[in-house]
Amino acid sequence: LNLERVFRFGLTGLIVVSLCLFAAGAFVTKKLLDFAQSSTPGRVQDMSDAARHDGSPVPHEGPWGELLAQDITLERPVDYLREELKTVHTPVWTFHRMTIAQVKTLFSNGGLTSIETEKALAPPRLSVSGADMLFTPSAEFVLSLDPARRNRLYEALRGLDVNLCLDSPYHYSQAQLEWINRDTCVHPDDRALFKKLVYGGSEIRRFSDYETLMGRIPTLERRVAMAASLSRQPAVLARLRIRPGADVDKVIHYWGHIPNVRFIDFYPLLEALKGLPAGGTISLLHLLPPFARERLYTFAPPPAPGEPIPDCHWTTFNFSNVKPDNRFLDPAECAQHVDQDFYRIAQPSIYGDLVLFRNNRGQISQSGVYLASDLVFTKIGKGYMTPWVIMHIADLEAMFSNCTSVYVRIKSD
Amino acid sequence: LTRWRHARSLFRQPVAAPDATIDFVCMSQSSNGKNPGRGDVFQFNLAGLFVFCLCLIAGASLITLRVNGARPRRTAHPALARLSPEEPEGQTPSRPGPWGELLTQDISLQRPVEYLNQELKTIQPPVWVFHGMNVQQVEALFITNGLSQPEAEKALAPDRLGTQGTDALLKPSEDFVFSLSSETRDRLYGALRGRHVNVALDWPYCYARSDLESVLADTHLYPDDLALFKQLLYGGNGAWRFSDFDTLMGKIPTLERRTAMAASLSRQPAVLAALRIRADTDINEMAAYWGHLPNGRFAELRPILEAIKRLPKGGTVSLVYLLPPFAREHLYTYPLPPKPGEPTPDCHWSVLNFSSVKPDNRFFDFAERDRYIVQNYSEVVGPHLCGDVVVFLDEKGGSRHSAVYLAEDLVFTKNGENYTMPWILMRIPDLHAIFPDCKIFYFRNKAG
Repeated sequence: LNLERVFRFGLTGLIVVSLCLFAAGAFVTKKLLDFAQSSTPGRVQDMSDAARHDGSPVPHEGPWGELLAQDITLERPVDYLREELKTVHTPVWTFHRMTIAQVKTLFSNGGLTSIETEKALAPPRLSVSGADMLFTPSAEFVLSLDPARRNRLYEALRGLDVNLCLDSPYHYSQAQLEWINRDTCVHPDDRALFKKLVYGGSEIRRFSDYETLMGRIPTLERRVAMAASLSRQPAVLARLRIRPGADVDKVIHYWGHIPNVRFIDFYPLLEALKGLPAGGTISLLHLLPPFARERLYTFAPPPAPGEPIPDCHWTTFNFSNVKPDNRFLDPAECAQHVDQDFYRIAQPSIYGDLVLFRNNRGQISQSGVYLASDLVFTKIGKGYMTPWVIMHIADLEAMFSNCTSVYVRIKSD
Repeated sequence: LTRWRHARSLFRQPVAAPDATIDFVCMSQSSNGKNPGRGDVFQFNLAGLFVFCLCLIAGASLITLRVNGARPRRTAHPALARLSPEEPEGQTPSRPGPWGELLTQDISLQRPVEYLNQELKTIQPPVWVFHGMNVQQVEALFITNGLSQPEAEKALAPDRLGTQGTDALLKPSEDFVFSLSSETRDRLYGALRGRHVNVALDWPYCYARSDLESVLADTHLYPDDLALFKQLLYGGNGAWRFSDFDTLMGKIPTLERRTAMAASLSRQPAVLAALRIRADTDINEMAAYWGHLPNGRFAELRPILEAIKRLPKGGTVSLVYLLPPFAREHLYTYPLPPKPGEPTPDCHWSVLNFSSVKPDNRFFDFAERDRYIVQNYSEVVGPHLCGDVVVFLDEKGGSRHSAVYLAEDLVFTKNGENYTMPWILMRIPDLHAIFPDCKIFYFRNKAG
């Protein structure tokens, strides 16, 4: 490299070269910034951790108006837990229409050695009830499984209707898990026990052995503290802000097209807020159809024997129904409904679009109804231990990070 | 140019580090006396050029970063700025009570134009029905209440008066309606109120001073229409009334003007309410207050209240969450226009259905609801519990209006037996201003 080489510019030339370099620098920087800011569908990247965790409402503007989202965490009411955890039931795994040999094969396929399988399924742990095999796993067996083998076995059992907690485990994001592990209300021994029972690898964390864990915790207070901590779930409290200059018609058009939401019902209220000197806010509750309005931020009561147990799909497909349709308790029915009546979209953008999380078997593990910005109405999993909530899509993605997000829109739109 | 040349001269000094020397040599005709037509020439060695380019690019990047950071982002889901939960947003805190800490905001609801447009296409003249009265009794009623004999006879001219069974039917002429002075109108309409002569007489539009001022200041209204409206007002002393909606609309020539007038008249003061939850809020105390409502769901909502309490600065929750299903579904909405023969929701029907999951239409029936109230309610000294019933009784002991007490001075109410009035939250003093001649009594469900 010849450092002595000399470059000469006239004044005009120098200005032109400088301008070109300046423009190129600005262009490249802008592109890099845009790339960094571009979000994955629904993910709000510009919301700082501080904003999300100090409880401040964060505004999101769009065709939905100006939405104020405030991050909260819901916990099952201690009154429910105290009553429910007075007595702890041992878990029962029901192998429908299977023989002992078939159960053993299933366990072997799930990664257990024949010795371990024989030991686990030794009488009186295994019994026959009609055409089904009933298995009451011992705490020793459950705790003997390391995370990898637990993952393999429980994956093999999932979807066979063996046990509700196996079919619909607790899902935790890394942040949630860290929070539980730091929760000082929970006894350290109980936290250690819980850690042993978490499975699913580094990206996805599941927990299915609720009854086993509770059975090992000696006092009611400790069980309640543990169960409350486990039940903690991120949610969003959302309001719509209407400023004096707000385009109420635009807001109405966005929110008013869902079946059983009469835009004429909330139009006067929005106009009234617009008429205030500083505007005002209304709860998103006013803009939801009756099914969602009745359930938002509540936990389902424990079902009576034989009563259907609500899950995410039942919630999603009944979102705009006045009376819930229990056909949607059947995943096959839901899949057929999606195939027939919905089409794929690249990104949710209209109130009522569906956000589906498809696992590696091609099944839909989780679903929710898109509301606005990056918010969905959903219920995590099946059962009465999780509430109906509004969540950030990003938080759902973190919980179901082993799944692929799929977005669909109803054809009639 | 002088400054530029001075600046250039500063760059002529060689930089100390020899490897990174920026040999910035400036040559010009003016300096060497040759080539007088040529301009300045800038000369760089390779390292100098490299550093010069880097400086320019870094400068451009820095400015872009600054500009981009200062501008609101226009991404698909932008988060603009953080708000403090303490931000009042126009809400007024009230005295804390067993209900918690209430935040209220006065609003003014207006009927949707979609409804008005349809019903104002054709204007029906008003009909006054005098139940079980003959012409002489009607005439006596008019004379007793401020009209002279000739005025009453003119108003009740045969082409305006008819009979239907035992009832006398009057179609008041525009001339008659507009001929009444404010005092006479107040006296006459006061005497007709509560006799089911006409819905608008039984349930006049009521305006406090500020509401009336907002109607009179409405620039959307045609001045002639406002002048007509002013002529038809009666009452005063802080509460003005207006009953001649059909007559007024009949005098306004175009649909647009009628719609604007009707929208302005339909403004109804209401209250938007929320509960503030702080880190030290006693949720159990709130549960004791809100938790006893039949079909209420305080227990189910406890997780959300606890969640807000856990936030560093607390937050607010709309009162609508805490209401039972009927009230939650209806609050701030207008009834749909009824089909022919269909009953119209009124205050008493709304009060008795307040805690219902499904509205009980038995309460459209006067006898049935009277029987229900006598059987199930007892009088209390004042409203202390959410769900207490606030009843406005006239001097004859007739129930003119009722509402459900919620907290502080707030009630859930639907004013009037018509579909033009929404279900709202109102303050008891504001409601009393509508019924100044009534006394307020409080009742509590014996079961609650």
